[in-house]
Amino acid sequence: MEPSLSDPVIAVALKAVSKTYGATRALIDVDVEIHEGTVHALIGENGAGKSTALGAIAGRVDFDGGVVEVFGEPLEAGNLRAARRNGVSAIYQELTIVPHLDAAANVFLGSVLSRFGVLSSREMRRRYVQLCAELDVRVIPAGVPVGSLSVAEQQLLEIMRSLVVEPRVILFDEPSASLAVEEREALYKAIEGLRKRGVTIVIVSHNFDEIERLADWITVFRNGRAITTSRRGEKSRAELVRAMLGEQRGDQTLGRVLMDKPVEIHSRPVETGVAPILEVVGLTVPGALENIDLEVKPGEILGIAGLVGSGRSTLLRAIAGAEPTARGTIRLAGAESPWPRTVRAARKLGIGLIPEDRKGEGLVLLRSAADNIALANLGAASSGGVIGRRKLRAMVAEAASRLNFPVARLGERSDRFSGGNQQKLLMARWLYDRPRVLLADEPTRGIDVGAKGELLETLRVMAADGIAVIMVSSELEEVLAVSDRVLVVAKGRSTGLIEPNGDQQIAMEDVLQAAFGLKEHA
Amino acid sequence: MSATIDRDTTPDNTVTPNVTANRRLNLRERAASLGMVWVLIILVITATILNPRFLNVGNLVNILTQNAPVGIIAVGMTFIIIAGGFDLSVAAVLAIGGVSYATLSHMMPAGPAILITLVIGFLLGLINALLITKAKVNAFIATLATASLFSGLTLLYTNSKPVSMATGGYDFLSGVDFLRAPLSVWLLAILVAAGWFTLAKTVYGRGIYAIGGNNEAARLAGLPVISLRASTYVLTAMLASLAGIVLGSVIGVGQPGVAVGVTLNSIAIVIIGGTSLLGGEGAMWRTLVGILIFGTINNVFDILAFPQATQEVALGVIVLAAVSLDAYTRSRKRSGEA
Repeated sequence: MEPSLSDPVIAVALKAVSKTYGATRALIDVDVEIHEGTVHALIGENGAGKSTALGAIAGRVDFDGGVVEVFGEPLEAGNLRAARRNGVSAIYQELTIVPHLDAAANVFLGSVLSRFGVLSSREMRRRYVQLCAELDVRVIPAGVPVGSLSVAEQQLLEIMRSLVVEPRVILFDEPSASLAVEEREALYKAIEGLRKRGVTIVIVSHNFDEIERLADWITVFRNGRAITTSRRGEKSRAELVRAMLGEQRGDQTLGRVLMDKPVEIHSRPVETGVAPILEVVGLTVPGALENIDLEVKPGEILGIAGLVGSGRSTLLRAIAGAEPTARGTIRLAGAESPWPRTVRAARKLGIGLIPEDRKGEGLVLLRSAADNIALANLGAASSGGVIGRRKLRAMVAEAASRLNFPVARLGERSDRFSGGNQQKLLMARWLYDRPRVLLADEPTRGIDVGAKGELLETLRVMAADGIAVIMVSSELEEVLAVSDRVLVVAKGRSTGLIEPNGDQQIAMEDVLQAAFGLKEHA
Repeated sequence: MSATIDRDTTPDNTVTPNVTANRRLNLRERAASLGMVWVLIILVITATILNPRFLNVGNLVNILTQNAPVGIIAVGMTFIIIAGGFDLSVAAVLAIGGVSYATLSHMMPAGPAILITLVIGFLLGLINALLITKAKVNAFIATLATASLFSGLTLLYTNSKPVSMATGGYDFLSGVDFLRAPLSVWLLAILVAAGWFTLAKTVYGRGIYAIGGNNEAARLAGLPVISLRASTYVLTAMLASLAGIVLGSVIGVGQPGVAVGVTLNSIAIVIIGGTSLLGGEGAMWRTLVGILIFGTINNVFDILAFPQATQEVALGVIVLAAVSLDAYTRSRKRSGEA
């Protein structure tokens, strides 16, 4: 790393830090210096070691080689309290708020202000308002139960909590992953506010927009090593992605397409003569959707775009039979049937869903990868209710191999896999049991760049198989990159159906205008 | 979360070492999952030292005969617990089964009496199932309430007096031997085998594991989650009424009073074997191990003429050991260093 102009103070230094889990070397001789008062981003694919490095600084990871120094003082490996004593505070993806307590109580959870054992509520309220001001955020009412706040607001409270102990270094592990795009602004402002106060910030992130906006320094991890550290703007996105993925992979993946604007659309025109496999007319879900029409043809990917709360996920869930109050007309291959009010009814029509929450709603984590693929149709490989092991294995392996899922690991429990591979399991489920219509809700959420491209290509594979795909994503670039057409919803109504223009591109501007309700498209 | 993701991803260049590591890991995990089998082996060795005749066929049959009723219930309880549920009403259903069979024995041959008793069990199970799946009452609360309801009604109906069973072969389940063992033991064996096959080999069994592991995922994949869950309660109540028939044929009367121990013991047996109370994991062979451990402890303490209270202490210790082992392996798995 080049020395800075005016000899900066090193807030955190990792010196030859290593960590081994069984046969996996999570960190290999990692050297990183983090300057005081800067925002330093750690990026890399899943498994590259960036979160382990963050954990080593936080005292959560018991590293087995090297030294971590905080303001010159070496930290004891794996000692959370020692790290905290040295002024290191960490904010993880899983928030640690107590939903029934109010906002102020949550902020002062670990360090209650009191006098002679009696809570000083007034003092806490005063400090609370002060903290809101320091973070430069809108004041969240101190008395509301936190459970009723949005994830973004809960996260801000968590940041405020970390400030109570006046930390010098704050670690963020993918802070925006669980936030909607429009919710992220407050977080970014808070981080910028912290930097202004001289707090050192280390952030693990998958999101390039965020890194470009916030980070002064960027360290790229690959296969357990810190590959390169550069200043903001020193390297282009493409260069960073190449560093993350390695030379060969970096050039091929769709990931690159996603990172380098302008977005190229991969769609091929669907033949005009083909009849739609799914037609929805006048879909209404009281309180969420009103009078939505759509149709999809076999082999086509229809993207659904819209802001959070626009009803885009409800739209998918309604078609999947998971919204009992939905009504409207549904036709599959021209045959009209009553609106499916249960998932089973939708499955009988040939509609399959990849739910948004991979772990909570998609996978049975305790069961094997193979079982999870077969979950939607265990009967397919059985006779008289008895499962044919060999037949099941063959069918599952075939689906998995088409998506480049490691077939040798099919017997392993599905909680052992990375997010990308877990998502592939859910997709393989619907190659194993072919639906006529596949609904994919946020298929790339929380997935790193390399795997993201692969997953989006997987959707293309499935479409090429003649499945009609409807896909929702909060990442607009992704929707544009894989969709043949894009349906935009805003406030529960469809505000536009955007088709490719003359250059086979869907203009992002058109989609955004429709999403914000600025312009009605025909 | 992302830390876990970080660990389990296989970087391209370490594929081979990781495969071997996984194999090693699986071996160690397997050894740990066999934990309670080691306990059984130690118990059997101890029992044989204390009583050289412990391993005699006669004694083993004796152990199984004594524990056939609770064992039969444990077979059903295994389904319920793997599906992520719980049933506190089995002892009450067992009492109803005994009383019903004894009452019917005065009116009809054994066959129809058994059939009607099983239908009653079916209906009682259906009440539990509807409360839990349709009215969405927590399983613990629902079956706590029905346990009280069922046993109260039985006591009212019988005026709290045992109902004698008619003579003439109604006790054939305990009175008739086949290959040196009473039919009740064979019945238990058949039920364990059928339970094992159903859980391990059938579509239905996979469904039970799926709803116990993640009900929402199972629902969104299109599994009939409500019928699957309901079926476990119906099945268990039918098995409990069958256990009532077996117990009735041993003691010759239908006892309206509920042996509370039966409920807790049937759950303890499932847990001892290593099936997780959290659902989604477990197996019928584990319940068999649980039955054998439970029976061995009873038998040894009886032979040594230790008071009943010491048996309860020992059982408590073993249940604690089993759940601690489960929690321990679980936490090791979670930290990724198992």
